[in-house]
Amino acid sequence: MQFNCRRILDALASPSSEFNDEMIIDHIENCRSCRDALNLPEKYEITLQGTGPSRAPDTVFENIMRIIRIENGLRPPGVLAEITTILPLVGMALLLILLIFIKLDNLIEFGQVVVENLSSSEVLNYTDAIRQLAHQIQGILKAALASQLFLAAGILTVSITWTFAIIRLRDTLKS
Amino acid sequence: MRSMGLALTFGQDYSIPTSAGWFLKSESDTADEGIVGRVRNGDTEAFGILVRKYEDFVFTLTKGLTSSADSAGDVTQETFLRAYKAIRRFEKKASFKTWLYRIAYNTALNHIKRRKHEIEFEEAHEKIPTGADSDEIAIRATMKQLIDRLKPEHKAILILHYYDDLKYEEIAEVSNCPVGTVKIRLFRAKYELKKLWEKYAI
Repeated sequence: MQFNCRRILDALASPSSEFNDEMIIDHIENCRSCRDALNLPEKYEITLQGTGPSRAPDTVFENIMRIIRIENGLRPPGVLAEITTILPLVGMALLLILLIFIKLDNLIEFGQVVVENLSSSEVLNYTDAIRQLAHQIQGILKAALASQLFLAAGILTVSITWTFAIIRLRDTLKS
Repeated sequence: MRSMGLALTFGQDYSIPTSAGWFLKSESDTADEGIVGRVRNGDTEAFGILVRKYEDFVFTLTKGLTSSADSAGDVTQETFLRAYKAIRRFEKKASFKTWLYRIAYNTALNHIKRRKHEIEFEEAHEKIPTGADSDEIAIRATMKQLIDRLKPEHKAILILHYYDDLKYEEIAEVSNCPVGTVKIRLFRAKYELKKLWEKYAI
């Protein structure tokens, strides 16, 4: 082995040697002596090259498929996955529209009650009329409050769902 | 003896570098792409074909990297589950095998980092057999234990190069580094292995 070969091989053990990687690669690829020096004795080299893959335990396949099937049951892949992503969005949008209509309906009902009570010819006692009106307004306001809370919950749900859907859509477009 | 592939944590980029234009697809690669297409369209069971085809190779790579059959089983399982979840991100610029190896490679390295202290403890208590036995089983056991003592990146290079017979370019994709780095690591791995052999097996 030449002096230069010895220095090249020593450089393999020392990343900060006088030779850079290109010089080392170039030398070894063109130097039979260096390549031989890196090889193990023949019987070891043959064993190294002739070793096939180890057999994976049977449980590996079973576990992988079991987990995938379970996950697939919760969130189907492919076209079904897209449908299951869109359906909640559509549902949430419909719910939002419904809640807005309920709120408008409450306001309309409130107006109708006021008009009906003030214009009713059957109510002779103004005190009773005012009490009746106050009672009905109270009921309407309670219903309106409940619908407001329902609306807020709906908007929150829609926002969260859309956020996740947008993230997923972004990932899909990225891919 | 040919086979497969590798890679890493959620959110990581599984795409293959665009410089992978050198790759010529085999019939096996084309068949894999067909199966990947079926999986993407919702055929979960088709993924089982890919698992059966590559589980031994992924297990071998991860076993070599983690030096533990138990850990290799866990890492192999994690590798395929990550591949399944990321299969929509698989690009056909390279083979499914190489892409899968990349996931396995990175998953195994992450596993090693998490278990570093345990592994060091186990290695400290291992005994390497002497070179007195000349039968193939003894040689194989000696080689395994010598390879287990290499650095993870050197171990991976030797396994991919010898066990899986991957080309330099394929190993570069698996380990996400330039071809020149693969070559120098392979030379360094062989040099390190030779030194270990001279120290323990002669």
